[in-house]
Amino acid sequence: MARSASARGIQRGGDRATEFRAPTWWDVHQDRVVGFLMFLPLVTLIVGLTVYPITRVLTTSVYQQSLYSQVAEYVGVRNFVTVLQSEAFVRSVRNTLVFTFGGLAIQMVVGLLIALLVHAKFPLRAPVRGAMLFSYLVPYVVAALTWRFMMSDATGILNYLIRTSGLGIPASWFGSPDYAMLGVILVNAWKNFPFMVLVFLAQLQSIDTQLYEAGAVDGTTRWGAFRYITFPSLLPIILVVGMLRTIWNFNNFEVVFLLTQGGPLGRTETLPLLIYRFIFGEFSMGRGAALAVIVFLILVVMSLIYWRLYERAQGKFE
Amino acid sequence: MGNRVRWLVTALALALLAGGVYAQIEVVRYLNQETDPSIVAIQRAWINDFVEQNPGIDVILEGAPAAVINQRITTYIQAGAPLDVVHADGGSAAMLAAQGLLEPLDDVIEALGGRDAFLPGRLLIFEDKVYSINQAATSPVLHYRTDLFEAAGLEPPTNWEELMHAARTLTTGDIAGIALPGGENRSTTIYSGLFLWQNCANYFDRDLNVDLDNERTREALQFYADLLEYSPPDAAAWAFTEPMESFYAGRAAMVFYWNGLDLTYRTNPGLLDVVSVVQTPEGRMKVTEQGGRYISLFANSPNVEASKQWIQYIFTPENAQRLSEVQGQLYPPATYEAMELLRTSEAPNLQIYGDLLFDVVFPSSEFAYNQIFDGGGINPDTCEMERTGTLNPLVSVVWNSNLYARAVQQVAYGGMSVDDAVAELQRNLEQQVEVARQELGQ
Repeated sequence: MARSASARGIQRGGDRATEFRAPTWWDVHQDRVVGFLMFLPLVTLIVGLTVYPITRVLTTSVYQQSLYSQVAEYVGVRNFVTVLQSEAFVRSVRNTLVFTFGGLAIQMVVGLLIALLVHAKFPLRAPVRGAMLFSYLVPYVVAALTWRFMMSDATGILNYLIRTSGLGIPASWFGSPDYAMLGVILVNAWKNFPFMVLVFLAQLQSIDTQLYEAGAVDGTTRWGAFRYITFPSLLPIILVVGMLRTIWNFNNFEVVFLLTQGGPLGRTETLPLLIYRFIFGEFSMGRGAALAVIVFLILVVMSLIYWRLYERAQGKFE
Repeated sequence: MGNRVRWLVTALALALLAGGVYAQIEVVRYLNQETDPSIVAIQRAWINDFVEQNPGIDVILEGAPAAVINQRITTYIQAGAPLDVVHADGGSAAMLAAQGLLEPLDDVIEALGGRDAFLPGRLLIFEDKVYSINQAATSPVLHYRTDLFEAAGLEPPTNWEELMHAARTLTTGDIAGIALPGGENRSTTIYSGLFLWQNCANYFDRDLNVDLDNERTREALQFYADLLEYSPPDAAAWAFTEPMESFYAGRAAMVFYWNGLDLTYRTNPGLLDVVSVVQTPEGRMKVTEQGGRYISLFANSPNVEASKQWIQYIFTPENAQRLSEVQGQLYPPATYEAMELLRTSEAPNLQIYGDLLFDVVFPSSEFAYNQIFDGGGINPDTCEMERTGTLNPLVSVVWNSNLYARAVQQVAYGGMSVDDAVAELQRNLEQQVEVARQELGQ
């Protein structure tokens, strides 16, 4: 009613004219403006921290620009062509896939096994669960350097044990062309498996125990319970953490750089290290940015595949 | 409420006043690659003294380890942010000078006694202007275990044959004959490059064209790869620090290094009795590397005069002596005057050398090649080192690309023939040098 009165406008000659006025722009848009202003800091942050850097990488990728200069020359897709034709590209893609999925598999299996173990009831379960988190709490730099020291020929305890055990394997993995990749995968897996434990454990605790009770009534074995109840319940979360860890492993720079710097013989040079080499080894911002764009696109495709699988798994489970 | 406003206004006024006072102070940012606590302590002491003597100037010490200082510098450049005084490697200093990013330091040099007051190889000169001062013009020497050599009946090696023989003879189950870096990094490039020069070859010819696809290079590269056989098994991942760590730990009989006995003194003093140093063994010619940590001033510095005062202060004979007393081998003084002061020093770090510092270590600079100052200065025909005076900023490409180190790895660990490795090296380095030339406008 008030709205309709107001819409009629100011009544001429009437004493009550001042009570009725046409709606101002502010009256109409007030909610939207305030909402937008409250939203603005977040938009600014997203634009500043995400949109701008991505745009900057995209634009840098089509320029030739030295690290020592701010002058840039437009070169179109030449940087992309150079990167794709580089001898290191195919090798790095292969290394990245091995590092990513090798590490993912170990983290998944170890994380799931430990989650199942600590899900069971046993004395001192809480401190054991806490201790499981240790390696996840250690910073990457500390973890990598600690392992490097332990495997060092000069000071390493593991090196010494392998050397004196007569196992017939190299005592210094990070300097061995055949074992360096395995070494970096294991260190990365050691560092990150607690994340899997945490997530799987949370999901295990949410499974309705009546399902297991019903299974027991039907005479289901332990393996059967795992196969038909536990695993399907975990599947959606396995796909979600699988996607996250794939992205994180794919982009991991610290572990490989600190342990091997991509060597020996480029056997552990992953795509992030190749980006680093293009920028700081060859002083080419353009080639580094071009490879970063390629990596971004690969990850987008991988994420889409994961989401598709996730939706399918969710559909089955529901 | 009234009180609150008064407090607020007073606080604001004080803040503005403090800001105004600080704004009048010229702040010099000193970007430095030293991480050794003893050297950082010296630098802090310098800053305290300097600030006390110059009330209008403050100096901020910004540390960036050697491995990342170039990244830090280039980040500043890309951001368009001003820089003041930096302590970078020679390749970067040359590149920055050639790009016109550095401020000439000739007036600082004059205040310190002129160019003649400096020892050879200390001043980075481009187009007759001094752009940088080499604070660590030192050369690697061979540290060796006297007990192991005596037990094997060996004399310290003086040439390649003896070096290889000693490395082979002294390698046992627990001891490596020699600790050498073999990772794909600058350290391997520098150490293996030393053998390249000793074999009368060089990365660049007199016109600064890549000149590696030749028999001399193949021999030198093969020799280094063969030596790596007597280095500990994880040498394939080693850079600068690991060889010396291996030596300190008693796991290697020999090691090349820039700063050794003073570090041994602090790290493993028990080893000092059985360690000595000799100059690098000779190949076809007697030559060694001249290292460096270069002090430069950026042209975009907002505090040029204050920064120059700071640089001048660093290089006063007394301060240079203080630095050398902490790490004598790494930081030989840059001026004759400071060198004379050092001779009379009784600092414990210097005493451990006895006469070795002045008889073995410092004289290495007499046959040390500085590839940045004297581009193409190894004459392959005469096997002599020539002071060409050609500034070679392209050394930075060799060091940062790690292509030479990769070739070493391919031969030493990858089973590639030295012919193929060197051919690939020549091709890849040529490409990268060409790009660098374009960017330098050459």
